[in-house]
Amino acid sequence: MHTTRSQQAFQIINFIILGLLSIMCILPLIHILAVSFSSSAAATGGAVKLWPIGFNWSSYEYVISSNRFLNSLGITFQRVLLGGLVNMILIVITAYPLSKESERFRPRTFYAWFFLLTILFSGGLIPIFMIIRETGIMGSIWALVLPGAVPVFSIILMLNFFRGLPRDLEEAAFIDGAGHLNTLFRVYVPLSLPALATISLLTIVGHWNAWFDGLVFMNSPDRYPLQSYLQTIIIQQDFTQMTEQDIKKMQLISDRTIKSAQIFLGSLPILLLYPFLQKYFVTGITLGSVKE
Amino acid sequence: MKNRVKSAFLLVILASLMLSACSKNNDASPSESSSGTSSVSPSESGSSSVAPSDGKFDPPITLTTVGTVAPTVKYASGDSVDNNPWTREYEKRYGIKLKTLWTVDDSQWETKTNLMIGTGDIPDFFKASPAQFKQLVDADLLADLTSAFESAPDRAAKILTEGGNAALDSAKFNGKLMAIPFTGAPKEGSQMVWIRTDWLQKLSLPEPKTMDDLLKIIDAFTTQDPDGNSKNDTFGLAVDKDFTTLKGFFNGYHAYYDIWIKDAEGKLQYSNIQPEMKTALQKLQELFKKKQIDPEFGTKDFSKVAESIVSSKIGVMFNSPYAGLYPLQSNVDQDPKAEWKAFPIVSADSQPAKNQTALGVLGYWVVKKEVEHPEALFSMLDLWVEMFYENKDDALNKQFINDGNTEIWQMNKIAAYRAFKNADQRIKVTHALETKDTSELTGDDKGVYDKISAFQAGDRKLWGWNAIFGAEGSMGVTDQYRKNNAYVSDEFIAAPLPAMTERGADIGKFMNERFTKIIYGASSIDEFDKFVSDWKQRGGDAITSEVNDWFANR
Repeated sequence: MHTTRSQQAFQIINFIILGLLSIMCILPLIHILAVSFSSSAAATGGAVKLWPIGFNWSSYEYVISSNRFLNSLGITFQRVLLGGLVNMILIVITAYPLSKESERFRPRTFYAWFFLLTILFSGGLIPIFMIIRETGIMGSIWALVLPGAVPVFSIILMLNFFRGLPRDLEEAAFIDGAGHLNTLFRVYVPLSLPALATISLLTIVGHWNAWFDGLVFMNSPDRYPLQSYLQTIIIQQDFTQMTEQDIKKMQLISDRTIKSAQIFLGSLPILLLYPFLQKYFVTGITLGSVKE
Repeated sequence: MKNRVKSAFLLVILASLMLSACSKNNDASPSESSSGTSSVSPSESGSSSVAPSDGKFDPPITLTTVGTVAPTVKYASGDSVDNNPWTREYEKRYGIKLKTLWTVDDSQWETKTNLMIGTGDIPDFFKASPAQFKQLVDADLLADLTSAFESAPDRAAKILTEGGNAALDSAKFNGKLMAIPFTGAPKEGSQMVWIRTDWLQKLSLPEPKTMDDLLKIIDAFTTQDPDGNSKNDTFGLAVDKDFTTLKGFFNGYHAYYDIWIKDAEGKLQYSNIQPEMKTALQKLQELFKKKQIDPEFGTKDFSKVAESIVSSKIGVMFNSPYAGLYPLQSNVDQDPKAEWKAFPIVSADSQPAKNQTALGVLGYWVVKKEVEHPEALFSMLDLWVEMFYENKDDALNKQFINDGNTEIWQMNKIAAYRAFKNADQRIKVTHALETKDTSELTGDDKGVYDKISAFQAGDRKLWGWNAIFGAEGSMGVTDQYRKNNAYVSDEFIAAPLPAMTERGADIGKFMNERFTKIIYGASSIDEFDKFVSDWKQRGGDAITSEVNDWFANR
């Protein structure tokens, strides 16, 4: 195809801007990686930029041998598996009836508003905290899984995708004697794999990155998921009010190389997962948006 | 259509139900707190127990609390936050059992306790921040500790007043003691000037006696290439964007940063708007112009400044005596030639300089109103003082303070710090190092003694301990301050007042900007007078009158 001059110019500018953007995204990660492999003194002195100075593995050895990192990693895996599973089941079984028209599913409008309302309004932290406490799941893994068990945004994505599927398939299934459950799991779900992949990526990343609920709903730091734990080690010390105890603590945990190693290890699994699910990402979302 | 109306109607009902449920819950929560927690806090079960003369509750009482977990603490196998050497001793000695409802990392303490107070569910006792303490008093949720304090064991009572009465006074409302202050060591933490002594020797400069001496040192460290790399890449004075490293400098000009001082008429005045501050800022402006301060200081917080120090770019820093451990130790690790020493702050005129000190209370141990035996806290505090400060028995020391493996002392449930613990410790340790007689040392002292001995045997990883507790250590300077009583105390010792809370953050930011501009030379020093009038206008006057009302009525 023939491209005009201006189109070429556009392409070049595009490459430059997008290239710069992606460099900006990747540089911090490289910096963290470089610091994590550097000697402690060089890192504390701020000398390390993008290449390790005094290359060594010691901070990784330390992280692997310390209980807290592995422990919280375990809790995060538990959370991602359990939370992801609960999320996916609920998304599918909620999106299916909502994808039907009001004539076939009478209270549809009511339920649609019921779910939409939760996007617009939230009880706020304290009521949620009280509910968690009164239901007795405070401190257990369920406190991290159940409050976000029904992600409405993902339900809307799923519902739109279901609507995009030809209705003839559903009718054919009914004629062959399938009920709603059979139709859903034997027809709709197998046809919706791109959407499911996209949504599970969203869910997994969401669970992986969540840190605040871990801090609030867990009763002891031993039970923190990974991101909550990382948050506690990288938080900025308030230097205007340091006491002797703080300084002694600083000396123990100020080791940047160890922090960097933990941050890098903490983002590694999700980095590895991304390329595999990412290819569904664009198709998954746009497919769902096309309506009949 | 009909359907839609119906569902809209349903929705409204549902929403109103939800809202009313919420508000009811919120209203009821504080008063419900006692019934709400009774299931988890069986303190009432101890209501029939009496404290006999030996101070042991029989049957034992149970107190609920919440706590932080230090990352360095490891429990022995089978032990836990409620079953460890300290809690076992509390029970054995005083008949006090403890139940910790939750623990949280130190950094999240404020968030989590705020949430807890917000839901109206406070434990029998815990450590509150000044603002939380005031809220709890206003909500009438706290027990009056006045009589418990009067009958408290001597040791426990003494530690609270060792640094003066201010800490205890700050915990009083209408003459009633509503909390046990978690006393810190504000006077001990007073700033001093740390100087690279290897650079000093290299340039053959004398130790500073006056501000002029110090300014010469700062100048020489900037211009005379103290690190010998033939590049003009060093700065004289460490300055960070929050001015935490300038307090000692200001104090040298009899200016004080961000405290309330008494004027000639006995009224309280804000220190930052006094004329002395103008002089000090003018001097800083000069230093900046001569490139003796990092031109990027306005964007660097202390940890960034620490980086420059660690990489041997700065030779003079005002800081607390503890700075030997951080960041200076890292510099010594990095640079084999580096040596630092702490000197007393120096005065710009014939008047000796005085150090500013804040109240320095790290929190308030508050007790819930319904608790039957608030005096139990003083018993527990007594155990803390005995074990942490007075015990000299090595076996007990291994049991309660440090077994070489983990800092067991952090497992205590209530603590308060002595005002000059480290200064006293240095005297004892240096004496023991001279005589080689360790019989007078407590467990904590012994730890320091061992570290300095190891340093003297050549372990530079422990340099910082010698820089603080050694014969020439920074605590010696602290000791000098103490002997001369060279302090100017912050006279305002209460939780933030309403106008402060409302305007404080805004006004503080604006002040920081103006000061930074003046130092940068972006505005002339005469801008300071404009700053003073702006400060007053933007709420400074309101805060001043509020503070003076408080001062008159306390």
